Amino acid sequence: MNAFGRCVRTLLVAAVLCEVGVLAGFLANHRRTQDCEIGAGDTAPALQGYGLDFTRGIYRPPAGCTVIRMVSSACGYCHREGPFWRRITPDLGSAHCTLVLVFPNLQDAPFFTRAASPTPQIVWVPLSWARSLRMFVTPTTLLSYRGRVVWVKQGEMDSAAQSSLLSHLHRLEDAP
Amino acid sequence: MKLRPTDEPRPTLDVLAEGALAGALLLLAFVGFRSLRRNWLRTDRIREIQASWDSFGRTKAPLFETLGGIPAGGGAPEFLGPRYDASRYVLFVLRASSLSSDIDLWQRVAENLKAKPGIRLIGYCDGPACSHDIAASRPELPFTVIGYTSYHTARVLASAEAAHQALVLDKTLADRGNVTWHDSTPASQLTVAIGKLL
Repeated sequence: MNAFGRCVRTLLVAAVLCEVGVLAGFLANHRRTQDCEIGAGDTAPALQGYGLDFTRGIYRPPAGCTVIRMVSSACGYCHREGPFWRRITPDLGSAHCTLVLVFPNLQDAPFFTRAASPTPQIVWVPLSWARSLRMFVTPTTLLSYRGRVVWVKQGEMDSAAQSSLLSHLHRLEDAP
Repeated sequence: MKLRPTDEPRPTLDVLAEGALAGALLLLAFVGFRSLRRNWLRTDRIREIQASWDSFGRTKAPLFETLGGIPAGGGAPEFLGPRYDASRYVLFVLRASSLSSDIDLWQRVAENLKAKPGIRLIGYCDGPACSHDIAASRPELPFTVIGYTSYHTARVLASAEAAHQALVLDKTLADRGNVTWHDSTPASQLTVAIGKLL
């Protein structure tokens, strides 16, 4: 092999090492984002709390699966996702699922209350619940019929996340 | 005989293919590295925001939007905000696992602090079990016990509880300092520590 060939071979080895390094970096970063206290497979704490309208009393989701959506006026995509959630309402109904909105900021509740009135909304939560679900890690969480976390999506519900949620909804195995 | 430049052996097809592969891989690695850098920084940012959300460190800005919520024993909601007439707030978490001793300790602290005007003690249940016990026993307490509060308030208090801290806030709900307490902390010691922050 001549000098040029050796040079190319060295370059190839370096390129492969770079690829391995980038891949390892992605895996490490993925692990950093997964450090939430609750993840897929865990059992969620009982979802209960009060809405802004105190006269409704304590909210407990009916039997069935639950999609918890944490929303805040500070997140732009929360506003954009409205049409998607309206569109999948029939799917949620046929899977006996309830969509529940949780407001981490008190001042956000009236805004979203006007935007989506039929959806149960929780404003006041117990400490145990807030301890388990982190807003920036689990903005959208699908709980199975037994309260097991089956699916978690951080950040925006893009088209991939939307189809992933729908496919998980249709594949829920522990239906009553 | 010395070869002229034009007579040097030409690179074979294999070498050219390897070169092309190396170039493609390097380009891919470059794109991947840029994407990784962006994701890594984004994760850092999310973690920073998370940390600031859960933080109960000393701040000049209000730490909470509200201290209120639904009392553990049921009844009308308490709106405890910056406009409330107290000048200092002491926040602590009551744990269902040691509810009676926690209540006893904070009752004695409240008794000791009674002489100082404008101080409001607020206890928060660590979960529905504590709220249920309080609703069932309905004890006469010198402080409010909140069972359900806003997510952000609950989140910060859960962090404080994990660090065995009680929080002392001023009337604007900015943090004046924290007091460490455990099961074995005497009420007198806790009162002195709180008194230093008032």
